[in-house]
Amino acid sequence: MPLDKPTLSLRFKRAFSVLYGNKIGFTGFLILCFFFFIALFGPWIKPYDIMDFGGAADILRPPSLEHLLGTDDMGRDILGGLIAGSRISLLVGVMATVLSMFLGAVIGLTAGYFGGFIDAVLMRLTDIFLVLPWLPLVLVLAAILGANLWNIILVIGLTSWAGTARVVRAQTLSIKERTYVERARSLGSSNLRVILRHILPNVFPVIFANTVLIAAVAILSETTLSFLGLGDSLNQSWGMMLHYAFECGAASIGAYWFLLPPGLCVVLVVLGFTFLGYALDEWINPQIRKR
Amino acid sequence: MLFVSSRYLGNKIAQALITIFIVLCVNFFLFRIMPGDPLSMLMRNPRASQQAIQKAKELYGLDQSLPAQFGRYLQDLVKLDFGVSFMFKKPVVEVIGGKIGPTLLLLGVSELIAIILGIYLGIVAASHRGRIVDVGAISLSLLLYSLPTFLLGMVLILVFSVYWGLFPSVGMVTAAAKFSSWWRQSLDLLAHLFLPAMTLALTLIGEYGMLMRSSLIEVLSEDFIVTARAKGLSEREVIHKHGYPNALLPVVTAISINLGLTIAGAIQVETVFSWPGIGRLMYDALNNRDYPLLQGIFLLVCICVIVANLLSDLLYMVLDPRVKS
Amino acid sequence: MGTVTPLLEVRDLKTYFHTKEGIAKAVDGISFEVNEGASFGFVGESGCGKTTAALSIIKLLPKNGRIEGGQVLFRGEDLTAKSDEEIRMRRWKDVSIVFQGAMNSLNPVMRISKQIVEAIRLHEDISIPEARERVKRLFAQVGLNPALLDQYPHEFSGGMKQRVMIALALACNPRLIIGDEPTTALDVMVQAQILDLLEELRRSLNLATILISHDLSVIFDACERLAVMYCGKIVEIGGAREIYLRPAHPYTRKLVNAFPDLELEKQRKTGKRALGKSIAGDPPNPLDRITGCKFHPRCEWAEPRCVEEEPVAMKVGADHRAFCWKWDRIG
Repeated sequence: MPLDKPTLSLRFKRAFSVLYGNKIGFTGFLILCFFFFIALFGPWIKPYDIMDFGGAADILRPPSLEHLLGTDDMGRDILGGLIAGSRISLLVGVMATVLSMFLGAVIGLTAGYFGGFIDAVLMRLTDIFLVLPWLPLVLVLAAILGANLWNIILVIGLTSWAGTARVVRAQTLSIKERTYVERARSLGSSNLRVILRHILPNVFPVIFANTVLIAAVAILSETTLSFLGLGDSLNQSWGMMLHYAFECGAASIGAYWFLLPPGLCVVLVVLGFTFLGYALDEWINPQIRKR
Repeated sequence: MLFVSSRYLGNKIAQALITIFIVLCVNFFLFRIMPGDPLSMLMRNPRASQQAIQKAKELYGLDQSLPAQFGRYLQDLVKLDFGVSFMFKKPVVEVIGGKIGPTLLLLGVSELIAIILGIYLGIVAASHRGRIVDVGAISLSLLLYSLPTFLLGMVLILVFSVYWGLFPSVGMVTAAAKFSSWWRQSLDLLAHLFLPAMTLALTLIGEYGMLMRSSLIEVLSEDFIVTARAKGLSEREVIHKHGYPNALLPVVTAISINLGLTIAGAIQVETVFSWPGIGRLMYDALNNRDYPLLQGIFLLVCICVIVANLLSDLLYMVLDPRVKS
Repeated sequence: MGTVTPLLEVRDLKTYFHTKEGIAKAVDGISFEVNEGASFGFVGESGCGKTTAALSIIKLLPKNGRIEGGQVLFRGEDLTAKSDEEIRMRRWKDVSIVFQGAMNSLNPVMRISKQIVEAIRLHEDISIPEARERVKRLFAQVGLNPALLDQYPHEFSGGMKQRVMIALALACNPRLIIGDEPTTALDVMVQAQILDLLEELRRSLNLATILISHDLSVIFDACERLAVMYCGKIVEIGGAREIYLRPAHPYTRKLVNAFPDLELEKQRKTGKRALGKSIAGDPPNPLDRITGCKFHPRCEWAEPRCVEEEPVAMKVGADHRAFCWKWDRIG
């Protein structure tokens, strides 16, 4: 195997050692571990049932021993809502990112590998997606498709792949020129085989670093969509909690406990992904480190 | 030179026109596949008569072939006829027209604040590179990036409006207030403008600041900066005469390229502060499923963003003599 | 030599960079002199301190660089003792620099005329039209069409930009011009033209020049005297012809041997740039502390004394010194 093609497991080993040495990246990693743990094991650790609507006396109560983070405008426990919401927010974030990365990788690889007319058309499409105002596009799509969890994932995935496609294309173009790829092509390997065996493994680190940064964007998008009333009311995410907080005027009546906890969760997760993304980016593009 | 420029220009304009055309197509088809269009709503209504359905079909031109519908759609667009808003029972153009002023005011003021403070932040961070001020500036912009705009707005309301009672948090004017003079009225407007403009500006400051920072750091490491020093210019003159003009280039273009993001912020800010502009209108249109209005706003915003991108290209051409095809 | 006061006399100059990893002794106690109208050259691998040595003359150092010792006597005046403000006003007026103009040494968004006028008016109290007149003369002097003076740098070719850099360097009638790799990015024919131009200007204006290059052929061709630098030290100094014919220091020998064809005349005829082979071993990290002779880890003739004791100047010829304990015992 040529020297410039380290195996995946070696790559991950290196990534982890770099991560451990990088304080910011490691902080992000820990934050994400925490939230993913909560999301996975939430159903067993949640102290309150989110479907438990208390009596009239339980509406919008500030934090107390009984309700550590207070209650919402329907008398539900905020902490319970946060834990349940983490599943939805992270699920949307992860699934939308997977879709976005898949689209970005396929389009970028195709454009870069085949070049010519295909490249021109795909890049034109990418440019259009980069130019179009993101939030109005997402809102219109979500409004048309209807608000449910899978549509939100679909809409976010469909509108966030353009940046990845560009990076992947650039990387593909440079790898295509390497001798072992040219050799494989001249020896008559099929295009798909060359892409999967030779190009994808080299493009993968770029995709990976991008994934983490896209995840931050996806979480933010979901939160904003839900806040603007396009969330899935059956699957309450942090964004939906913020939507309800806004609808009942939590800010104007000073109900900080309804507003800040879900907000803080969103900020922490986005920061976590961003920190991790920067660390990965630094590892993959070592020349940036010198700056 | 002139030849190269005009070709570059033509190319850019052609690209913008193609993008606009594609947006028009997307707009046309999207709003015809939607599950909640007025016709299907009407048809779901068991009491709707066959006549009513036929009338609605004719009204929306749905009885014609798709190309014919598209032709009619384009014709209507040229006549600035975007249909009638369900919510307001008025032509979409009229509804939107009344909301443009407040949005422009909000965007203009926020951009101005963000540009001035952002560039200043970038300069301060770049000149204290690696020190506390720099780390602080980077952390601040990272935090602002991670904070959803609407959340920032609600937190500012909580602090400035509810706890400290400094600024109003709703609308553009005090409801039912009578003002003794024009400047009292302006003061009232400014008070209402403060929090929304601050929210929007803060989200932009981090962005412009970090852009200015990296741009300035890069420029100051260029060879021509050493030349300027060697000529005997003072450090101040070097940065003012040779550093800033070069470092500002990417920031200036980022402002117009960023318009899409700024609009995303404006939609959230206007929603949170009930600012009577296009963004709030979009929120209302969304939640009332007012599709003609939504369609009109989407088209307007897209065209504005595409034109802003084109303008930023032109601006770059004017500012940077190096731009070629 | 020796009877006239040199234009520039550098004594035991030390310039250190203070980095996070420690102190890098970029220039560590070098001495040389340059007479009025003379041409001097610095040669060595990249990172050997030759550029820092030259730029230290007018204190043109990065923020973390400082002159830690020694003297720079310009017409008998010690420039290291001057304040930053005083030295600033001497830059370009006494000593100007020709950077690699083909690269990015000119401000890309400023008209060339403005960049030269800026330098003139900084040091002389004359009007803009007068300064522009001078720019026109300078353009003619370096072989550029004066009609082009309001162009932007990107509209010029590499060779033309280098001529602009020379015009800029001449703007305030300096006594000394430092050429920092002035021809590196240019092709051989243009390189020859630029070196000829510099030589012609030196003779007609009685300018002194210091050329810095990693390319031995350029230095041998264009300089009367030269210094070979290695790791912040001068390892050999003297007349270019003498060093060319009889390199004494092991490092110089390897450098000379690494260049297949040092005669620039031959390169000009073939139009091909002679690329030097790299010599065995890597130049040391400037942060490393190497005892004795800095070159001993890469020197095949090194003996215990070379590791322990720093060599002093050994006289090889009338104007030829080598800093090597056993230059006369190498085959």
